[in-house]
Amino acid sequence: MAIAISEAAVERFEKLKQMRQTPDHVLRVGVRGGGCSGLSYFLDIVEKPEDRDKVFTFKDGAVTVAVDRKSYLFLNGTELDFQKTLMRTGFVFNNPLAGTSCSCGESFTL
Amino acid sequence: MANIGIDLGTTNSLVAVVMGGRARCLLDDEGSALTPSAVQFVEGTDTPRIGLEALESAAENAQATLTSFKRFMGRNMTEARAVAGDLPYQLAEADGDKVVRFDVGADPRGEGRREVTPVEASAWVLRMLYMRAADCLLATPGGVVITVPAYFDDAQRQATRDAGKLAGMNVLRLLNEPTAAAIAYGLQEKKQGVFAVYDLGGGTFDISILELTDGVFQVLSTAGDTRLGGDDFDRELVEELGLGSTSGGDLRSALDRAIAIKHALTSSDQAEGVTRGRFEQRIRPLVERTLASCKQALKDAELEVGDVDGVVLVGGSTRVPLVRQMVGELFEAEPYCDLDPDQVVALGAAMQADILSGQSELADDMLLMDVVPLSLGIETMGGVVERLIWRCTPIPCEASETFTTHVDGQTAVDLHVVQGERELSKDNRSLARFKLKGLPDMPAGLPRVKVSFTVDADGILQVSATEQYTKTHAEIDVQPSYGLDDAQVEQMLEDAIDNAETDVDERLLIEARVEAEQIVATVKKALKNDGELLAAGEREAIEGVMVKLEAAMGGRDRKPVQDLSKELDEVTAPFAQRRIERDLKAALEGQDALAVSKALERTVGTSEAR
Repeated sequence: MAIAISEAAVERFEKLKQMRQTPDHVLRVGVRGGGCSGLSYFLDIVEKPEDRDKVFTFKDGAVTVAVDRKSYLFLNGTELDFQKTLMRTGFVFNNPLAGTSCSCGESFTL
Repeated sequence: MANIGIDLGTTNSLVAVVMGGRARCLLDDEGSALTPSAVQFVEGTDTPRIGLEALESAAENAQATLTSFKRFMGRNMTEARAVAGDLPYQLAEADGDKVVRFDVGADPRGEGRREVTPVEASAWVLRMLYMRAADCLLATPGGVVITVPAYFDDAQRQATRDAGKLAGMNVLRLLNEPTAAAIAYGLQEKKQGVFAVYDLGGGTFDISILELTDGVFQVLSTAGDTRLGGDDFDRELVEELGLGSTSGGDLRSALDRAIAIKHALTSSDQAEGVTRGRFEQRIRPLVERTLASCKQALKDAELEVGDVDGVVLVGGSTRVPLVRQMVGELFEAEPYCDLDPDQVVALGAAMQADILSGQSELADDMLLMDVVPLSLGIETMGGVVERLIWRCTPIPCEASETFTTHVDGQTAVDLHVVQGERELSKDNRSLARFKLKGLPDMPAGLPRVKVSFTVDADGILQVSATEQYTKTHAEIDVQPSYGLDDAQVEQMLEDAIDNAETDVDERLLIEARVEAEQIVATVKKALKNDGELLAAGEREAIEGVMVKLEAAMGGRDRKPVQDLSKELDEVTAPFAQRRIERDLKAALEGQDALAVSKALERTVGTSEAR
């Protein structure tokens, strides 16, 4: 198992890197306590992975996703997607480990 | 939450952020850092076109397209009329002492005209840049530093702040543009010196003399002209092209042509029949006016040209070769021009915003002083930590969360305040313990105890607990950083990462056990009180699952605990349903609203405790 990323999410991330003028930066995802359903996802674009992060690369290294080891316990098998709909525009976590998610999709329980 | 810097310019505006230790401008979809400070109001809709989109259709919608409106910030109608003669758009009808309004066409919501203030127009531009930053940061920006010309008076500064507020932003500070430019060049690292900042933008000219002492800038003097800039160069070119008498849409087209010629003349000697020599002859008097201001600023600061250690060039108009040459000659120095002169101010604003965040990537040494070094939390059932304040939160800060009791009739709670990143309180640093007594006698899960953490500017943590019905209150002060050095903080962070997997497993096991305990307690109570509602064989079935669950709770594997808890929940569901129906029926027969709610509280409340 690992972390996967959809074509739409790759496209969005590459666009953001271009707007930020930070072509080498990586997408860092994770989980922390809080949110309406117990645990919530977080997402950030950072210069480089932390020392002990699990690192996944896609598109011949053009896209790097880093996850800290603690969050990885909750995210193993997750596909990161990007959705643009009338209701919401943003990155979405499709997490097979999530038991129940809250309606806003930002938090979940195992 | 990262802070951002915005250069709200007369002609163009920019947004920049420090990312990965370096300030960078955020680009639009076209890959440009410059967003034209232009807003076009479209008939029939509230939402205007902003930036390039507004400018592209400006020629055919001249009256509805506002540009260079920064000149009117904080001005009244009388002041505005004095400079409004050659505008491609119109001022509204209003008394002279009223705030400037532009008439941009029919009101989409009513019969009359739509009138827009410079503050509103600025807010639309700010909002667009703010949204771009939110996209790029994947989060709402924290605070914003907006730059203003050093020349701006109080009314103009206030108008700029108002525009920020109208755009829904938290304006941290207004920063003088020359100071921002000096910060962008890192001149503060020189510690001492005198610097001139020559800023020739689209619509304003500023010369500022800054004195640097121990890394802090002080403005010695400023001079300039809020109505002189690259726009005037464009007008000179319009005259040169023989189009000086045009107005409205034609004037707009003429200006667009002039701008193209001006840009071309930066690198070539001739464009559209206009030679660089002719252009320079036209603009020389304007540049000389700026140099006169420079001399005035030096005089005001009681300095000679030789006292100035360097001159920084800011603003797109400093790309004009004649400007560079004449400024260099005046200050007898090669000007600082390595950074893009259009971006310098925004980059400096971003760096200032970053420093104000307290989590600066640029100002490393501030880090442990201004943020919470390790998370602060409270121990909950089973020894699990509930964090209220996360590490690296800037101080001062506060957070609160509501807790409840675990046992029926519990009249006191022990509060254990801990610090660290581990999941179990025994692995974290214990800061304090105190007791909240005198809770009302209620079933488990009903009292509401609000626990608040407040860390003041000195890093002192105050923890208070208040029961919401009786207002029973207790509190304690602690100094979390007392006796902790950097190495220990580092060690605690490493431990948290090394033990992540076992910690999380342990936490989940404890949480599963706590939940199971609660279900078992609730079920036992129900069996005892409402045994007559059980169907034949139901008690045996329930007790059978309960025995298995209690055995699993003694083990180290959370899966059977979770599964059996669920099973117990399912096997007791019909029984619980009958209890709710019985209580409701009894209450409804009595027609007593209080009894109904009490009955619901009793049956629902007790099974819902977390």
